[in-house]
Amino acid sequence: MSASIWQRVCRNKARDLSDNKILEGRAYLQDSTCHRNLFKKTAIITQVLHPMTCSILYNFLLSLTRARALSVRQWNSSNSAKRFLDIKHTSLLMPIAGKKGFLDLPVVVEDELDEQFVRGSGPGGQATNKTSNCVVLKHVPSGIVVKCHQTRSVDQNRKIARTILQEKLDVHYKGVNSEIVKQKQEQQWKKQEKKRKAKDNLERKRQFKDLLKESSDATELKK
Amino acid sequence: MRSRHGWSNVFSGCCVCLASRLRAQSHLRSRSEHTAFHAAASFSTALSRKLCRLVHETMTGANCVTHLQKMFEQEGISEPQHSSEHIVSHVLGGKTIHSIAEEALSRPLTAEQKQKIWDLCSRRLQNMPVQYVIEEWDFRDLTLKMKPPVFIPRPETEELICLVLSELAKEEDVSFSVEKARWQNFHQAAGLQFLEIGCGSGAITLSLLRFFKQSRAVAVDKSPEAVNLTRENAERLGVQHRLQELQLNIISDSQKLARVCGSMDIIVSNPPYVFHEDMSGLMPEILSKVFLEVDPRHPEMIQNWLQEYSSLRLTYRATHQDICGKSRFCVLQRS
Repeated sequence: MSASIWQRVCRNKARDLSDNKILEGRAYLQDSTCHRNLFKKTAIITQVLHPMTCSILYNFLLSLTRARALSVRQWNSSNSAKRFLDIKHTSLLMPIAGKKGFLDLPVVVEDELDEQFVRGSGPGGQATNKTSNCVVLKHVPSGIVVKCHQTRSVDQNRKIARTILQEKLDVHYKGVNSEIVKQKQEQQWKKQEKKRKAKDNLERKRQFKDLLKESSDATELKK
Repeated sequence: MRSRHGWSNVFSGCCVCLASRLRAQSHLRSRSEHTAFHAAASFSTALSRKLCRLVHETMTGANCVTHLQKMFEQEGISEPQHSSEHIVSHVLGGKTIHSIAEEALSRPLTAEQKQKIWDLCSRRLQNMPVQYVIEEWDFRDLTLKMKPPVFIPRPETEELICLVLSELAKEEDVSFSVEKARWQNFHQAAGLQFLEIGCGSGAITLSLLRFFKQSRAVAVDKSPEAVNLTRENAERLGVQHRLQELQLNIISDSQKLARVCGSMDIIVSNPPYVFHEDMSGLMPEILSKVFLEVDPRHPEMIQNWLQEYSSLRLTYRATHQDICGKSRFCVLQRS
């Protein structure tokens, strides 16, 4: 099966199971310990795998956990759940788009950076109080330049500049496959899903209404 | 009517400032709003006209920035654009002009906001540094209160903190990014102890206290204002229970310092660059390292001095440079 189809399959399963609201009240999806444990195990396993599959694997295992958690309560004998759980044995290379909080960004090597900082260097030494703290960071190999003056602290600006540079490098080197593009695609997909759900709900309500009407008509006729 | 009251405050403020600058008579303050306005308008300098425009016209935040900038440029104030941006953004509740939303900048300013901008502006026109004007500044991830005559922390000092952290990380052999959270709580039982000489506003001490959540610090400064400001900033950041501040002169009261301090893991210092040769009075037990921020001329002097006073058993470990490439930091170690 192609990557995108697997993606949709896994997502649909996770959504359908969550739709049934089996675990009422428990915010199992927000259970951060669950996520962390998964992440640690994933991290150990994927040292030998290609870095790209790390995020994919994590998210796959995550969705599996959700399914498993759900299946414990009620779906023990359910066919669909079993089928879903069986999937994990077949292939580990599930292409699920990267989630926020685990970005596969390129490493920034300090030697390749040229940092410039606008600073008064005149006489007075400690007495000069300049408020300009703009940091200009240049990545020499690719020629990307980042200018940052978001905070009043030079140190923070330097850190932020490096983060921005990382993201820009990601886009630069990976192009279509970069994390930012993936995130955007993910958001678009979510939007579409929401619309589809709303449409489905509307359809179900309409059908139910029709059904009610039919049954009330039938009872009237009987009378 | 309420706005009129506000205007009258602003007008009287306007007049008071003009009076002090142009040495007009002080009875202007007691005049009514109408005559005060006329009196102000009669001062024909461009400055006075600009000031009256500020209070009279409807101004948005963005307009105000350009207006103040022109005023500062005319008066020869350094960094006119940055000064005006910092003042306006501070009044609008943000730290930098970029953190203020577009719509907030294009909203007309209220009378209270204008009054406040006016107060800050008049301070800046006396060439007071921006940090003292708005009475706060950022240091790494902290926001500290600033008050003259206590020295303002500078970007080089932020690098000093980075240096301290990286040296300690090397010592503990910690992979910085991965285990950072654990390392911050690391010295649980023992508790990292450090001493800062010349704490000023408390920037270095408070940064380290915030980073190492179990650490304890002693901050020393010979100025009572500095000691009070450090305490105030510590309370603002919620670390006051781990800080002990002392007001004493390390040269003359070193015995007292030794008694209070006991043993220390680290000494950090960013002293005013007045180099005292008789630092042998500094007696506290140094277990680990001394970090100093210095003037570029000092490293050599320090090295010579250490050789002279070899009884202290301090070795000169390294000189580090700041972001501008000047020798700025010294690391000494007890051998």
